[in-house]
This record gives sequence, C-alpha cells and structure tokens, in this order.
Amino acid sequence: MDHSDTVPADGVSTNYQPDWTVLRGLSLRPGGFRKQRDQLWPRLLGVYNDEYEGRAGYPPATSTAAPSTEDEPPLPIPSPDPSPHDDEHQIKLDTERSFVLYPVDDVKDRDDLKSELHQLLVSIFRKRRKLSYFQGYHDIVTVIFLTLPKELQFPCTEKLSLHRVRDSMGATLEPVLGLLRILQKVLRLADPPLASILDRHAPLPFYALSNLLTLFSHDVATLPLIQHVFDYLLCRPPVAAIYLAAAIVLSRKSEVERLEEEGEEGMVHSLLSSLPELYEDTILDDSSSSNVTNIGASAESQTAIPSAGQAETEINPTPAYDVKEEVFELEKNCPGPRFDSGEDSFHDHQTKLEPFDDDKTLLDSETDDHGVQTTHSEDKTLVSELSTIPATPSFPLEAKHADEKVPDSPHASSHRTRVSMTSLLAHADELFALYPPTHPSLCISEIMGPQSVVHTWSETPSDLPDDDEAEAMVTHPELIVLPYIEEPEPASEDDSGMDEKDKGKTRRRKLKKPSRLGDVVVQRKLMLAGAVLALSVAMAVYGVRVGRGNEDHVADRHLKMFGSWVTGVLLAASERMIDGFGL
Amino acid sequence: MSKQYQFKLVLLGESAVGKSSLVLRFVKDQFDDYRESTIGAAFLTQTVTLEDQTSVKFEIWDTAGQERYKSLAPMYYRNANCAVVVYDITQSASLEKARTWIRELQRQADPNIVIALCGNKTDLAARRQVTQEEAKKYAEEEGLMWGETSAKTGEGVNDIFTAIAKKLPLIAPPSARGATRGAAGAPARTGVDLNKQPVAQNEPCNC
Repeated sequence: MDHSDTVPADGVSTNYQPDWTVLRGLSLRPGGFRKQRDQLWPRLLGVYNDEYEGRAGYPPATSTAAPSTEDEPPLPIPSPDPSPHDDEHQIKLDTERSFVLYPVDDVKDRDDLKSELHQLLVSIFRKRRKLSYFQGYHDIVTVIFLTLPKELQFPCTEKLSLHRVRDSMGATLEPVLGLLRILQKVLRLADPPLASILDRHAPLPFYALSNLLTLFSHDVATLPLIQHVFDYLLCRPPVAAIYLAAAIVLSRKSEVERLEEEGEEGMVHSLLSSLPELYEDTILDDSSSSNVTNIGASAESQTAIPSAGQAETEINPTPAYDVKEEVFELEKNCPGPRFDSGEDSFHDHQTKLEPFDDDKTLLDSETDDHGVQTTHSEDKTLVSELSTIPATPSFPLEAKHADEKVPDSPHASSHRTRVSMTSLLAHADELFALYPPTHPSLCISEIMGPQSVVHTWSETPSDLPDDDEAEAMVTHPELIVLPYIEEPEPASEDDSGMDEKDKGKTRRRKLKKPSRLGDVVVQRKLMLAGAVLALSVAMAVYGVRVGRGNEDHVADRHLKMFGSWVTGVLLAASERMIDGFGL
Repeated sequence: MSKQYQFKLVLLGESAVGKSSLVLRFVKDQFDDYRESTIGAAFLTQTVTLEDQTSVKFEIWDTAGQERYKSLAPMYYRNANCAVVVYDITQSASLEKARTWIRELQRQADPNIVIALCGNKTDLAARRQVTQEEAKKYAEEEGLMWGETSAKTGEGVNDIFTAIAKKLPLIAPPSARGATRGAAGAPARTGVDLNKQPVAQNEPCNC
C-alpha cells in the first residue's frame, strides 16, 4: 500500500488518528485492548513515524502473531549524546531492583531484562537531557518495555514522557502535588464525608502519590492488569489518572471508615497506598471480537485486524449510568457555573457488547517473549454489560457482578476489597463526567499552569507541543504548577462538607509564602498574576476543546493556535520577568 | 499493669541504602534480595516489648530516598519522636547524605527527637568504605545513637530498635494518645507494606 500522499513531512497524518471514542469503549472491556496494544498504544501516543515503519515493518501486523524482534534491524534510537545524564546513577540503582512486581523465572533472564531496561532509560535521558528521572518512572517504562516490540519502545517511551508524564520530570515534585490537590477536590465533590475523614489524616492525599506519579505502574500487581490500566489512560487525557485514583479511593470507603473507628492514624495511608484487589471480569474467547476499527489505520493494518467492520459502537443518547441524581445533588449544594456532563465527548458513548457466553470463559497463563510470567487474555469478548455498572459515587465495595464467573485468585485475601477492573474504570469515567476538569470547584485553572500536560495534551497529534518544545517546558516549573494557594479551613467534622466548602470559598484566599523562592516573593506574585490571567484564557480554550468532538477540526485548530499563542506570550513574559529579577 | 507507649519513627537516608529492607526485617522478619524502590512513603507499625514488660509501639514512616522526594520529608519527621538515619557501609557517599539529614533534623525537627545513625549492609563488610570508628566518632560528636545492621541477615536490627525503645520513654514524653491507648487488649498489629499488594503469585518466582 502507499500512503505516502497522506503522510506529511513530519510523519504524522491525520489519517492515522485513532478514533478515541471507539478506543475508550474498548479500553473498558475486560482485558482492555488485549492483543492490539502493539498497534494501538503507538497510535495513541502519536508514534507514526515512517522511520519506525521502515525499520520494523510498522504498522505491524501483529494482532495474530507475537512480535518477534530477533531478525529486525537495530533500534532506531538516535545516536545518543555520549556524556551521561545526571540521573544515571539513580537509574542504575532502580533498574537493579526492577522486575520485582512481575516476576521473572530465571535470574539470568532478569539480568538481561534489567540491562535492556537500563539501556532504554539511559537512551531516553541522553536524548531528552532536560528531563529528570524520578523513582517510579522506571516502573512506567517497564510496562512499555514488556508490552511493545523493541523498535517501538523508545519512540513510545519518549512520547509518553514528553506529552503525558512530563509534569513529573522536572526538578521538583511540586507539579505532582498539584495533581494531588485536584484529586483531593474530586474526592470532596464525590464523597464529602469520606473526604472529610481523609482530610483529617493528611493535608493532601499523599497515599495516591505513586498512583499519579507512576500511572499506577508501581502499584498494580500484575502485568495484564497494569496493561489494561494503560489502555484506559492512553486513550484519555492525562488528567484521567486523577479520576481513576479517585475511583480507587472511593472503592475503599468502608475500609477507611473501619480504620477511622479504630483510630489508627497512619493505617489510612497504609491502606490507601496499596490498591484494592483488582480482577478482570471474565473474558470470552471469540475470534470475531477484535472490534478495533476506525483507528485511522492504513489499508494494511486494517487487513491485519480481523472483522474490523464489526465494531458496534453506538452513540447512546442516555448514558447507561444514571447521573441525574448526583447532578441534582450537586446543583442543590454547589453554587456557581454549571457544568454539563453531556459535553464530554467520551461519556455519552458506550460500546455495545457481545452477548455473554460462559462456556468459553478462560484466562491463559503463558510466558511471553521476555520470559515474564503473565496471566494474559486472548482476544475475547466482553462478558458483562457496562450498563450493569453501578452508578452511585458510593462505589460498590464488593463486586456487583455476582452472576458472573470471576476468575478467582486462590490467594485472594478475604478482607480486602475486591474490585473488577471494568467497574473501576467505568466508575472513573463516571467521576470524570460528573466532575469534569472544567468543573468550577476543581479549580484546575488555579492549580496547574498552562504548560502542564493537563493543558497541553491534545487528541490531535499536530496540536501537541513539538517534542523539543515539550522537553523545554520542564525548565519552567512555575508554568506547570502555579504557586500554592492555601486552602480555606477544611470542612468541619460533620458531614455537611459541601456547605462548609462553599462558605470556605467566599473567604479571602491568601498566598502562601513560596517555600523554595522565599526571597523572590514579588517576582512570584507578578508571575502568578500573569499566569492566572493568561491561564483563564487558556482554560477557556481548553474547556471548549474538551467539550467538542473531534469532528470540528477547523475551529479546534484555531482555538489551539490561540492557546499556543497564549502559552508563547506567557513563556516569553515569564522569561523577561526572570531576567528582570536577575535569576 | 505494664506501661504502653506509642512513638512515631521516621526512616531517612540515601536511595538504596536499605531503609525499607531494614523495616521489613524489623516488622516482618523478612528480607527480599530485590526490593522495589519506595515512592513517597510507606507506613508500618511494630511493637517492641521490653524486659520490664513495657511495650513500645512504633509507628514507622519509611520514606523514599531519592533527592526529589526530599520536600516531602518534613511532613514525616515533623512530629516524629525518633529518626533512624540509614547509610550503606559500602558507600561512603551515603554517610555524607546521612550527615545532611541529621543536620536537617537538628534544625527542623522536634528538639527532643531521638536520632539513631544506622550503618546497614554489614553482610557486605568486604566492600566496606565506612569504618566503624569514623561513624561512631561522628555519632558521639553529635550525640546520636549509633549501630550497624544487616537487614539481610538480621544482625543488629532488633538491637537498634530495642535500644531506641528503651531510650524513648526516658527522653521524649510520650504523646498523649500513646500513653492512654496502647496495644492493650489487641494483638500487636503487624505492619502493612505499602508498596506491594500481597499477590502470592509473585512469590514463588523470586529465585
């Protein structure tokens, strides 16, 4: 096939764009993308470059065969800067103790894996020298490393780092603290009584730090489960991780309440730092179920996907989960601009599911190319219907799919909350719909700066910042997370969290003295003013983009250009200010 | 009736010196050759019963070692009764890092905090870079407790925590709740590892 006419010079074609709505539906299936990750993850990350295609036969027709990299040309990794990156010592320390979570049978195999992982990490940081390594980043990369064929590992890791994980790859942790503040606000909206307990235990939900920093890769216990989480995250905006973290916390409400009664302070942190026991809903073997279509695939890769035309995704005008009740509650309690949950492009769609056939239920355990033991699902059909997923934010603490055959772990601890991955992910979507990033109470515009991935990420690859530009953004932490604005007094211990919060909002906010740059308060304040002003514009742009399907590209492009302009002006202005203060 | 105390303990030290392994040995008497890095902080508890039947319950905050997590540390040492600052006897740079932590604790933490300097990995004594004399001298100068341990073999681990447990009730007034509510009536709670789900299928393959 020849698609050279559709591929512009930068190797990115709008033709290659995934159909985000379809993929979001697929990611909710038990098993997620299953065997199609080789194709889907690169597309979702914006890796379409002909360079990889030429070398590795990309787009790979690997939906039926396991990737084999043995006879392929060497990695298309750009010749690295030979001088070591500052973080290489730490990278070495962490890769030395990697592959703990997903056990490897053979010590030699593990040593080989470690060495390859180390090489991959070092290549990334030698090419993207402005990025900083953080402990836990190696967990993220491990998932890519164990999932994708070798030639895709570097470009996918690079894109993931630059456009989704970037906020955490600067010199400090502060951007992640910003994400934790948003999480705290989501929890306060979704379950004020629970949030009130949690707020009493810690000023921020630090127990979720590794969730947000490592995209759950440090915490999810098995490779198939973390792959499914990545399926979910990669076809949603980066901010989706916050909603997933919130869904996880909410699923443990009864455990938190029990600990609260027992008065064990640190145990709440301890409990919530580990995940509930996750499991996949039963998956059926069904060769006709590879419902990946409209991902902008070339003719070649479409033929590689069996029954591509069978995706049955329909726009459901009434979401399966009934959100009206909660919206009403919120409207009653929360003054201010209203959001419209129907605006979110990915929440009013639902993948229609195949009927349940429990004769073919199976989960396979096999060893993959890396010698890593995985419990791994073949292409299978979804069993449960999403419409059965419970809707209330008070999440079911026990699996509601009692009528289904659940692949039972013999080691399941009886007291730990069990949550099906499908219901967890659907609950995260539901939280996103109820309390979208544009929700006024989340104050995302007052927390994250215009150069946070929360604001720069786009479904359209050409709307993303250029890779080099993205890399440079980590050098301006003040544009990634805005200076911390002290919260009003937390809600009192009664359960009327909403009312308390609303009172709190009317109080005068006061600027906390910046801790790192105590001597340049004036400069920070100036920058804050500029950032907030420009950011409100940027947020308007973002809000419109979120609310828009991807059909209206022209308008979208204009808005994006405007957004880039705002960012550019802001960057220039902040540089001038920094120069002015002799920093 | 025997006395019951409850104290908050924080572990600090450079990355990969064995902080989490030390706690795992103390709390669960286990050791993993490969222990994943700590992100943020982990919380565990362990109760030590002294010869006079006094029981001391430690609420242990095990922190991440990488420099970038440093800004979180004050939250964990702020109200701590004691700190165990760990270095690796095979890495002299890790003792320098320990000194930095100790200076910070002396400046920022509760003035009554009990600080123990702990040289870990004595099972690797053949590669020793930090002599006992050097570390001990420094500890004496700064008025710190000092000990060497091997989380791998268990050598010295209980000794150092027991020494802290003996010293604390004499120095630091127990927190109000620690004095009134101990482990009475309830079996000593074993710690919970924050960073690992107890998925048993992970275990057999670590050979």
